Amino acid sequence: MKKNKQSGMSVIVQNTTRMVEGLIFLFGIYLTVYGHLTPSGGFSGGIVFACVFILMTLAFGKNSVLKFLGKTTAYIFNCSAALLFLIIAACGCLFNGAFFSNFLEKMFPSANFRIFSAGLIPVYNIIIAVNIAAGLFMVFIILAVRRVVEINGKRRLISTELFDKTERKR
Amino acid sequence: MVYTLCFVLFVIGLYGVTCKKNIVKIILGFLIMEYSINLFLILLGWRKNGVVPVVEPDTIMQCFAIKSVDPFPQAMVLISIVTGLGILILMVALAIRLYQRYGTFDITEMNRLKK
Amino acid sequence: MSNLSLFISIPAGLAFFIPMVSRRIKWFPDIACSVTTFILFLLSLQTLNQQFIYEMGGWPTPMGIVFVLDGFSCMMLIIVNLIGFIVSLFSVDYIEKIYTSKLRYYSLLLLVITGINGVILAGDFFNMFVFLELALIASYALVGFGCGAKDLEASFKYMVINLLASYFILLAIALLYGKFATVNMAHTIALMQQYGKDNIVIFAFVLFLVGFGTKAAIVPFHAWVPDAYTSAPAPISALLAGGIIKGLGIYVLMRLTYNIFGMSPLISNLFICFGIISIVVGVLMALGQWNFKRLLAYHSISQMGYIMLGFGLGTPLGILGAVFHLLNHSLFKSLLFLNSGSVEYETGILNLKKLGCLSQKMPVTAASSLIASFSISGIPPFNGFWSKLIIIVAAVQAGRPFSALWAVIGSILTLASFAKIQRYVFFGSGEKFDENSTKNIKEIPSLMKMSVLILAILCTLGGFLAIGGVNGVFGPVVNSLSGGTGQYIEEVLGK
Repeated sequence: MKKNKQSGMSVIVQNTTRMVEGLIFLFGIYLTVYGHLTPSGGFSGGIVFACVFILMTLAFGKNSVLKFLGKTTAYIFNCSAALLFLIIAACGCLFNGAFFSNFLEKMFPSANFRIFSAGLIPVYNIIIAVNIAAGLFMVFIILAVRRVVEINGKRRLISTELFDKTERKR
Repeated sequence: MVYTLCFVLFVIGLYGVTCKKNIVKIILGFLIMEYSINLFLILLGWRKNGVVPVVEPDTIMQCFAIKSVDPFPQAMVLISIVTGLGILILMVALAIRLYQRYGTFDITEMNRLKK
Repeated sequence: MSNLSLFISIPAGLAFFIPMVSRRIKWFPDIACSVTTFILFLLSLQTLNQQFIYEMGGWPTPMGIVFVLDGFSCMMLIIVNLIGFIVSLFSVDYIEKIYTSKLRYYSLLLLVITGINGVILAGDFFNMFVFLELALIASYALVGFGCGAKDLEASFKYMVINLLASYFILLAIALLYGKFATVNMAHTIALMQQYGKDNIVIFAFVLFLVGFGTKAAIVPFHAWVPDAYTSAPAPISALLAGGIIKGLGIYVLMRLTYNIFGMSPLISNLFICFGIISIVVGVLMALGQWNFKRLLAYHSISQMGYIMLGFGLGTPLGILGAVFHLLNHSLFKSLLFLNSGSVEYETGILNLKKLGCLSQKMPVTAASSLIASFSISGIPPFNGFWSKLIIIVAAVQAGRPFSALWAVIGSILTLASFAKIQRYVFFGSGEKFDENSTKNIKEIPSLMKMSVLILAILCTLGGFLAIGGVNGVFGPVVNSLSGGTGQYIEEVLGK
């Protein structure tokens, strides 16, 4: 049976991935949103999100994922999440507090052990998860995704982004 | 003692960094060193017969503060792991680029700066 | 102003904002970076003569994260932000011509400045470590910025040595946490005075010495300096020499020695020994180099030896000389690296044997290079002379005349190698150039000229300004360091 090299792995892997990837994504959301009540928070949730995208790239080939989350989109998510983190942290200054103060807790105090308690901490968790997911997936695209190009008349397999973005001009 | 084993792991990582010629083995040596320091930090917070540092609706705070495992090293190690991840990514990217330029992973052959 | 968090939030925010906006607007990163670093410099000037702490998130001191500002931090902030401003002015034209990717350069530069500001202001060990790693990772990427084979090799060597040092520092922080159960610096000092020092604390201090000594380019740990400085882009070499080895190396080492662990005769002897060896080794190895930047890198090691000597003496006059030499060294060494960048921008050559007779075609560069060479050799009215004089007088007063002798010998040999540079690069006979290759060489563009002129003027007037204002400018610095452990605890915990 001829296997098309361009589109990822075999049929079994693709079917299993289709069944499982939504559940992994849901697990990542659970880890992130409950980060102020149970162990792990933004970092671990972000890594699980990045793993979902990497799994999809491995199983279905790179074009299926790069259509909706290319390098530019991931970069924009990364930078804007980091900026949003800093802006919300700086907003703490405005409410008579210091730089990172938890102003939502001061404005809307709430009971413990509920999902909407602890003020700003769930918000920070979600922002960090987006940041790390975009960042790790961008690293994966840059380091591991390759394409076939013609160099000096021969077909070679090189990594797409690492080749000559930053060079001396001479 | 357990802390001595952490230092043994640290020295193994140090051996990997200083005495090996392949770049990938140097990177693995750094990883082992980083794991050993993170392990040391977490083990510092252990308390005998301790409980998980998660507060539930029916805990008494004084007993909890005496009995629970120290949560501060856990927060430090979380940040340290993420920092180590960033360093690892940069090292691997450098290793890939070095391979493209020199054609080998052997560091004894990369001495064009001396010429 | 009382908001110390602006020093880290402004450059970090801009570092993430630049890539998003600059794909449409091409001129945005240059102007934004220069304006922002100028604003940071003005903010740091405003913190002069103040002393306070800033608690993050409103959490009180021994529990929460604090930023501490005292005399020494204030002076380091001024130095680092000034060098950051000058480097970003210089980079506007330099990166345009020689490298292809401007956005990444500016983001990384702003992240380095964020990291160094964070290290200078941090009031607890772990926060300092995180900002240290941030600054260093950005600098590993910047040193290998032109991705040729030699640049990447230099960046890898720099990275391995500094990463080893960083892990030693993390191990020392873990040991101190295991002993005292706190990472806050002032709380650690209080507990250390209560419980005394035993072997773990001494081991942690030795690990800190090795780790931060590597970052400060002191002699047993100087192996990364020549390769990293040679392959980095010229403004980054200036930032390395003026910001990183000072803010991340000498500043933290002196804070640990004077305020936290306490100065003792053994440590004093050790520092003086390291200082003298650095002076001599740096200058001797520089005499045989023919690459312009490599020679300047070895001289960086030697001048760091002067600063270690000054700090190691332990007397207030020694500390004054060392801090003054910190300020002067960042001014004249950055000026020298920017001049080498100008020469490379115009001619593309850094080998001394192939250059010559550039003083007619590049008068501004030649004049500023002459001023900087006089400063570094210690010739009278320029600023290097005053700081070296204070260090030598302090050494004689503290009863160590041999150190003063080695310092003077080092100064004479420095003069010899800078005479070599001046003869070969600017005032030679020029028979190695033929007319075809020299007719395109002209003076550097105006923004680069402006940054070089600012540094040259500060070098010339620096001596007189400081002599006039010794007590006002340097008084708080000396007080904060020589006050020892008690002063630091009172600053942080007493408020």
